[in-house]
Amino acid sequence: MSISKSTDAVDLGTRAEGGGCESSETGHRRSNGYSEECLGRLEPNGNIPKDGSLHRGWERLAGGDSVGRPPMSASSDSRLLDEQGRSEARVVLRHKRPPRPKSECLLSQDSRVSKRYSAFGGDSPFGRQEAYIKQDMLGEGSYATVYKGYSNLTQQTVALKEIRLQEEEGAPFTAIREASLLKELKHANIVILHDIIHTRSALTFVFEYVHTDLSQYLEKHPGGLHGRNVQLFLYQLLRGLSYCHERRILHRDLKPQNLLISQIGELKLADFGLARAKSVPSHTYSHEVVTLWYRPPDVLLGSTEYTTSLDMWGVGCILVEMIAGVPCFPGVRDVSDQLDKIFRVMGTPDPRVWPALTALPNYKPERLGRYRARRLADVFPRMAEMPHAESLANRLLHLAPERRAAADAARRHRYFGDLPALLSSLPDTASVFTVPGVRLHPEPKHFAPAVLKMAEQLRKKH
Amino acid sequence: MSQALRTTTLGSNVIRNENQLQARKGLATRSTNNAQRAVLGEIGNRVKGLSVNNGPVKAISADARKPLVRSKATSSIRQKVEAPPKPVESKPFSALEENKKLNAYSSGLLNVDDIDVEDSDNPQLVSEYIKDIYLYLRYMEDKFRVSENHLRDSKITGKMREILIDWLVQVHLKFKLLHETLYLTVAIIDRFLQVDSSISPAQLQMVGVTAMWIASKYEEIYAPEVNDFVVIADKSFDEEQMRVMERQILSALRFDLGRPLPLHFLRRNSKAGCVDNRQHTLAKYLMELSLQEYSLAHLRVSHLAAAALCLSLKVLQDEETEGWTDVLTHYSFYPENELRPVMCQLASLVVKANEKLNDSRAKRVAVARKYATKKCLCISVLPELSGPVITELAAEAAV
Repeated sequence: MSISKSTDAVDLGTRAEGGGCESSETGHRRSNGYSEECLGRLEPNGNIPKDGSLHRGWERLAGGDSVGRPPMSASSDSRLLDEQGRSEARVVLRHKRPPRPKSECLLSQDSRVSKRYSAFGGDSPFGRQEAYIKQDMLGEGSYATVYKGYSNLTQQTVALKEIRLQEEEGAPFTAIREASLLKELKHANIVILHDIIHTRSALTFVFEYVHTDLSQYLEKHPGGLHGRNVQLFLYQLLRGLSYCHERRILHRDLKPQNLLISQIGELKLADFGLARAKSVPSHTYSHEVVTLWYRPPDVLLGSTEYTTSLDMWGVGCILVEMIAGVPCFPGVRDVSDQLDKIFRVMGTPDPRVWPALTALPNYKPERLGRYRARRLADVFPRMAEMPHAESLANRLLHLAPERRAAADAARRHRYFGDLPALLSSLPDTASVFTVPGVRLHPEPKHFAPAVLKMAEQLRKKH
Repeated sequence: MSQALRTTTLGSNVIRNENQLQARKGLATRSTNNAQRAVLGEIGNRVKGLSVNNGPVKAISADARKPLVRSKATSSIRQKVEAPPKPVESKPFSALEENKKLNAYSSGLLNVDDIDVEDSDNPQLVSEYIKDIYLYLRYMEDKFRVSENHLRDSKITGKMREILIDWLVQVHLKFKLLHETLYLTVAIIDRFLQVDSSISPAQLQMVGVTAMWIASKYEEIYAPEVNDFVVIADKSFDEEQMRVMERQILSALRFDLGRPLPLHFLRRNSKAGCVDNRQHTLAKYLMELSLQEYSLAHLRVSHLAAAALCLSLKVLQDEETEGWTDVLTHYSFYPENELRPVMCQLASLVVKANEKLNDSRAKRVAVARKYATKKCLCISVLPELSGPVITELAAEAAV
């Protein structure tokens, strides 16, 4: 299943109706707006190579000690690291925790600071740089920097996502799609885009400020989250996602970093840079989507004809991660390792059960390990403590995309049976926390095994 | 205008430029082995004409038939109507109006086939969401409408618009872009010219090219680079001017690029009508012809898509074709009598295109020439397009 760089590059060019078939001349594929140099250095899976030459930005963030550390990037996400968070990250990251892989194709090195001016005014107070005060940096992604800010228009704290414009190619396609799609989406579980400031040197999106994200929340509460909170987070994720899917929008980059969590526990989908509106039937899309750990097996095997099922696999991974406290399928290196991680748990797929499998471009059965499916509750023991969680996870983590549950169906799963019935009829823009009885529970304290053992012995003595 | 629109004609100049262009850009390095998507292959499960022994058009088992009175879409809309009033901005799908319309059509049609019922196994067709999606697209097309005679305050005329779009069709073909990109380009141009009346004829070509650049970024996996567009326009403006224009357009459109395209509706209609490849391609030809026609620019895209298919079915009638069925009326949202005026206009466009095809020196004939190729099934030179159906409808338009 190892894919050489060149075949991968050729696969990238697959396109739909009206597309051309021309021969490769340069060997490099140029993604719009990103320098050839940069793309040429990508690993086949789209991650940054290990030589450390590309992630200077992250080193600064993580303390500058880069020797032997696996590739790491702050990714495209709106990682909301405040000063304190950054020092925490420094401590956490220096140790064994495996690095989170980054989103695909969001690489840019241009970080020159140039003079800003407002190109267009009009009479509206919106769209103007002066209306916002830029405060601390919250996080630095590969194509954007996120600042905490203050809006003089609405008198509230906001998050300013500053996208550096390409010297040549103007507004990056990711920014164009993100802005256009987010403007269509007004939902309590999707981050609100308040304003857009477009100047010569930068494009700034003004978002509502949300104080953390699920990735940080999981790091802060190791060992898995409170069962009730898992339920609430997942329900909100599905709510936001079915709203997107009903509007023919695929997120294509679901992962804990892109799920913002407010102080009271509201979950908001963010980072629509890889999202796109799909037509029905779908185009052929790039299969270089979704961060490796959350990428479904059909797409890992080269399918470009995915649809809403793409996002649903990610939901399954996130459910397991919230319960277990560790990533569900933390592949290292490349696509084949990622597939191996998945098949070790879910079993190697059988073409008799999943007939379309054999038609997938990168399906090479001889290169896949043969594993029998295991029960999720055996692999992630904490899952057994939560009623029906395993059943829902199985519905979401079906290897064959057509059998994966849709967001609407998943919301009706009996795993959510004990949530207030009122939740299913909430208006789009109402938060689930407006329903009486719905609240965030304090997270359980997990002790190290040695501590638990000692407690056990003490109990026996008495 | 013809001076303003300085272009490399698609003759020797472009061909000369092509090699240098391809050497530079990602377009050229596309894979050689990618199969072209079959025009109709994925639209539905019951597309006829793909295999010979397909049987009668509506070979649906009785249990596959189900009344649509409480289809998922309608019921979810009802739910939304009953929801407490919300601020205007987030009002879903202009629900009330849609609901009325749906009822108006479905009340007389209790036995319309549910064309999605057999698709639950095919995730490409997202049968769970399809009805919601199309209601949403109807809402979006109204939200971002182009008004009738939208160039009335502008220095741009309908004729200039026609010249521009004709040229863009050629650029689109040259760059081998997706069909969606062409429709989105025209939609961006129209919506921009509607709000910005300061654009002069000299700037028009740059507006067009920049619109295509933005559309490519939105739709394509690999958009052409800015320099490709500058070169194809014979360097009558530079890259920095295009970047400024990009900001101007995006800010005028407030980054709203999600307006649905006629193609989205045509695919749905083609599925509902179980049409064959030729009928679908002819409808596409008619829609593309209409892109240049200023008097049709304000039309709802769903209306255009329905009229194009309806006319196509009339022209390419065979014993299997039942014309504009109840199913088509239901899924396209339009009964045939509402489509007739548009069909007449489309027919007169075809008559005009036929004349131009016979005249080797004719101008603005890019669409018809494109659809005369084998790849487009030689659809624009079909003898049926000179037949009585077209001439009669065109005559009706003249009256």
